[in-house]
Amino acid sequence: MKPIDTRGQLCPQPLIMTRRAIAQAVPGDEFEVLTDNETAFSNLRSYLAELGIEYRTEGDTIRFTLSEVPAGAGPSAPEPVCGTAREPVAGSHAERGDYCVAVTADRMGRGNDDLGKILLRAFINSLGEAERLPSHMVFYNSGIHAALEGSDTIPALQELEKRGVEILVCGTCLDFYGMKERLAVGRVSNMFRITEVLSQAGHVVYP
Amino acid sequence: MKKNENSVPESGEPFDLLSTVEYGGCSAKLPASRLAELLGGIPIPGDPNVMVDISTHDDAGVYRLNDDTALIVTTDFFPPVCSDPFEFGQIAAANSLSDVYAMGGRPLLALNLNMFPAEKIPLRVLREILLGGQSKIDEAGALTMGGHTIDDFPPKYGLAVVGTVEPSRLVTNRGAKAGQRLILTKPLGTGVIVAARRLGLASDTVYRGALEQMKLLNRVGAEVMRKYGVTGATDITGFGLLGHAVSMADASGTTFRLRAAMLPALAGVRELIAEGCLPGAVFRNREYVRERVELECDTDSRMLALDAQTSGGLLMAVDADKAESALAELKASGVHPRAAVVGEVVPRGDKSVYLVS
Repeated sequence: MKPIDTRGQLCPQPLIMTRRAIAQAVPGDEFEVLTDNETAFSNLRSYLAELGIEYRTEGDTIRFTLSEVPAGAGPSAPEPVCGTAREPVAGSHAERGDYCVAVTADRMGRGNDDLGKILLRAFINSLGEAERLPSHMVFYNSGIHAALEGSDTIPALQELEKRGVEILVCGTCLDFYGMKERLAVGRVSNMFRITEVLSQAGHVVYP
Repeated sequence: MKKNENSVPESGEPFDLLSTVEYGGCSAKLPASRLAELLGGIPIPGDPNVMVDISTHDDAGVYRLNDDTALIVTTDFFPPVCSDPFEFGQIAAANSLSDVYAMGGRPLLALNLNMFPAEKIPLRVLREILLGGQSKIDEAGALTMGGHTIDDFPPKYGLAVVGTVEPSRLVTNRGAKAGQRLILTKPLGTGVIVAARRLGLASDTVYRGALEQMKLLNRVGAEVMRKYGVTGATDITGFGLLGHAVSMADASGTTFRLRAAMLPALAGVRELIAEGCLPGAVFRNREYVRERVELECDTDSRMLALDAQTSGGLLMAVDADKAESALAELKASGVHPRAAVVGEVVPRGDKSVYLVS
């Protein structure tokens, strides 16, 4: 039983504490949320219901067991992070390595910008032929452009995704550039998740 | 926790209005379900010249003076949503004026409504609030006719506004028709960001992004509605996108199909929602719409659609063949770069609103 002690905290802090705990959980984890005010108690129950989590209450305490981490419960549903879990299915996946690729700009290297763009495109397009695929690719700042519709790296990225590479695109960056509607591959993610992926990767490749 | 209760800060020291409240803006509304319940028992006599009364949960009342002119009357006030008094004045005034725009009208006259604790906060703060409000009244082209101030803590500010509209151009909750597209002019998430700011979770950039949207008049939106002959619209405030969409769909006898993937969100909001940063108004609004919506999308998008907005955008129903031009015009104005088609009006179904992924 993992306790989440929200006593002394005003909303929405108890919700944030609970969501963080859920995000780091694995199926089967049991939680006990302690509350000391009616607003937190009520909002927590509503929130768990919205997340599709069944709970029971005893006095001011809410208990629940995660049978599975609910869809959309991000920021880090316990899907495999770099180098852990999810065995490749025999025959269908190339071996995935213990590394991440972080695409941080719309070009590769410094110098001539046109050349940089050509190089990044070539890098992404040839990644599928690597002996070991990355477990994750994260795209942030102007790097998101490689994942937007109209980019000629989309087919290669879709193929990588199909082969099990998780593609995460920074939501703040999509908002900043006003490009959310144009995302063509991967999932919108947040800094919490991106930080987690980068910090838990065996190593990170910055093209 | 309320550092201002005992002492008046030295003059000249910046005063943080957010320190006076636990929640502000349209989050401070009474729960809609309770309000509907208690209003139900109060008989209000009708009049043939009343074009819009409270029965359709519209943004303002409308009274026909003659064939050329109808008066729009509305009021709105709330406790601080931001730290700076001038900006609070701007936001509260923009929010009050918005109800006139949502009816397709033009603001004509304004009265200031102030609740302010003379003993607890320096009076110069009230002056700043009023200056901020006046800047928006000026921008709207309306005239300030006076106001009323009573001693109260925490402070609250807003306007009573009279606007005008040609009766034939009136825009109401009941004017949406099946087949039309729904355009939302401002991104969602002001409630989440203000709550996050209190906890120190929203960066300056994210917070400023929300403030700028809240200060923005819905004047351009109203102009676009006139140009494209829109008859159905509302502004999105305390009941969230879903709450206001339900009112509009019900009043129009239609159903709205909203697309979660198309909802515009302020920068940083989706991340905050994914962290569980959800103000209580989200859950009050959930209760309000519970029986009348079907939510077939991820939890976080639902939460976004339930977030109480302060001075939110217009949700307008535009004929399908004009939607693209109307949207292009909103974007080209430079003030609504995030305007988006967020769904469509369909014939009445089992529920008032469907939010699909």
